[in-house]
Amino acid sequence: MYPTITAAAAALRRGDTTSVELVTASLLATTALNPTLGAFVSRFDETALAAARAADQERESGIDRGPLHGIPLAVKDIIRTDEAETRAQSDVLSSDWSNAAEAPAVTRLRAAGAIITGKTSTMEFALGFPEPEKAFPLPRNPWNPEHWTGGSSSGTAVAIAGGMVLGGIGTDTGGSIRWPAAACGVTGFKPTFGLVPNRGVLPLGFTFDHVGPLARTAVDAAHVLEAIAGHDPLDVTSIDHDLPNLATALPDSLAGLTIGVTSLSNHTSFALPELETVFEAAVAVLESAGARIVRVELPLYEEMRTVTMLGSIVEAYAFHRDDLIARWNDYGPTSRMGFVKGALVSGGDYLQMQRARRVAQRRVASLFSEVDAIVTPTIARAADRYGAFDFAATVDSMHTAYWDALGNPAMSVPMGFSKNALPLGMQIIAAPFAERRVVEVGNAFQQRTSFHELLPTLVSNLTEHVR
Amino acid sequence: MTPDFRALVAQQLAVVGIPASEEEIVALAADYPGMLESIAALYRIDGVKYEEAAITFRPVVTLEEAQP
Repeated sequence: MYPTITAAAAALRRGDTTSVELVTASLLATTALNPTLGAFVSRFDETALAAARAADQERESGIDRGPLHGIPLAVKDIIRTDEAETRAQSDVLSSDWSNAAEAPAVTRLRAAGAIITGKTSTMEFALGFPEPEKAFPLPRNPWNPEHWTGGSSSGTAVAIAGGMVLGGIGTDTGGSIRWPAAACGVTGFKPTFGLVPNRGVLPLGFTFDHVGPLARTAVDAAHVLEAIAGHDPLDVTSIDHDLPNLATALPDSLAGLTIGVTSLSNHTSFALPELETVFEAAVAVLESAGARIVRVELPLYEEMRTVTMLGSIVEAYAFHRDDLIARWNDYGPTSRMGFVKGALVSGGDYLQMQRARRVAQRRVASLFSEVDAIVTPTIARAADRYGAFDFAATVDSMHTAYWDALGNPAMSVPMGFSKNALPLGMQIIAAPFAERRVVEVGNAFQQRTSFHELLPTLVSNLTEHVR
Repeated sequence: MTPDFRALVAQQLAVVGIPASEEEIVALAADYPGMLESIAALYRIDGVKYEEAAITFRPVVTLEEAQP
């Protein structure tokens, strides 16, 4: 398997490989590692190989659909695809919903020539925490399978870190793209709210949900985002906004940019002791790339964490209420105890969350008049070991949820490792619709570091023909 | 008067008909005061009293959207 989408696309264009070879390698790696890592809940081997043959024929006849043409990708199993029923890691979800039309984000990937090799594991209804008693694959961290992966776009992150695909898509309501990306050592990109259609995607919090890419690099993620972004008139959350080119002619340096930095160390008592050192080393890389570094504070930080964590649950409760009444015991204990909190919040309090959101948006817009981007740790901890899972510490350590309340584009890139050799992520945020700025910063960082290129031992140990 | 959070949670879930266990009700009640304090903090934000909500109503529905 080539290391990145960009490298594989170049090899395809040179004629050094074929889409059939790429997809075959992807399927072999999945066969080898999925039993251990639990990345995929369903596989589309036959349709993927047929699509790969078609992509190769198109290329031979001179048709080039762009950087995703013939590239194997994975889709989180709360996003509808034509090949298989969507389960959302749940025994409750109605097949009426699951078998409806494919999500536009997936259809757009196909139009860009991407090959969908399967659906990836998540947490029940994408709420974000494992339910081991359920009969679904439990995603395990490629860097240490005894550890969790972060959630809830877990399987997509695992499949990329495990060399099973070159990229994929997930969803992010409180951090569900960026958190597993950070925990598994890959790049995850939550775009601006409304940039990618949510239609055909199981709702968690409909004013907080974002569909976005995961990949090995910022540039690869940009290629996937370019394919799936765009207005959908049938989606009430979709925004009609032209996206500039994200992945070409990126600057070599960050000269002229001002980057606001905060470790957010005042906002959690559960941060790893080594986090500050790892994060400051990453900030030094940005400074060495030419950026001017200024220290900033994020306005209404705790308030916006409340808005995301509770507001999205209220919205989810509206979706799940009838099923919670009728099928309480068919839900996993973690997810039902999460969703039911929505019954305890008044309508007025929910509306107050939406008003507080607007105040914070104004204050953060003011902050972005002074800086071009902001960086923070993605999450203050590495992934917990299964069996020693600390729910409260994990939630308290997530620095992602703030940006779901505000809707800004935010990317997590690998920035180093914890003392127990698990990946840590740095989060890069820009103003709404300034996706290109996020890619510029992420790419400049990855041009000067190699964390995104490192492979877990069990992946590098695969035989060459599988890799 | 100090609220009885266990009773409050039990009543709210009973009214809806959600069959949570006693253990689950106790766990939810333990989180309830903190949740209410987090919500109360949202009412103390400067300028929030006259702020608009970050959701909007759209009066127009297209024929395509009108399909069930």
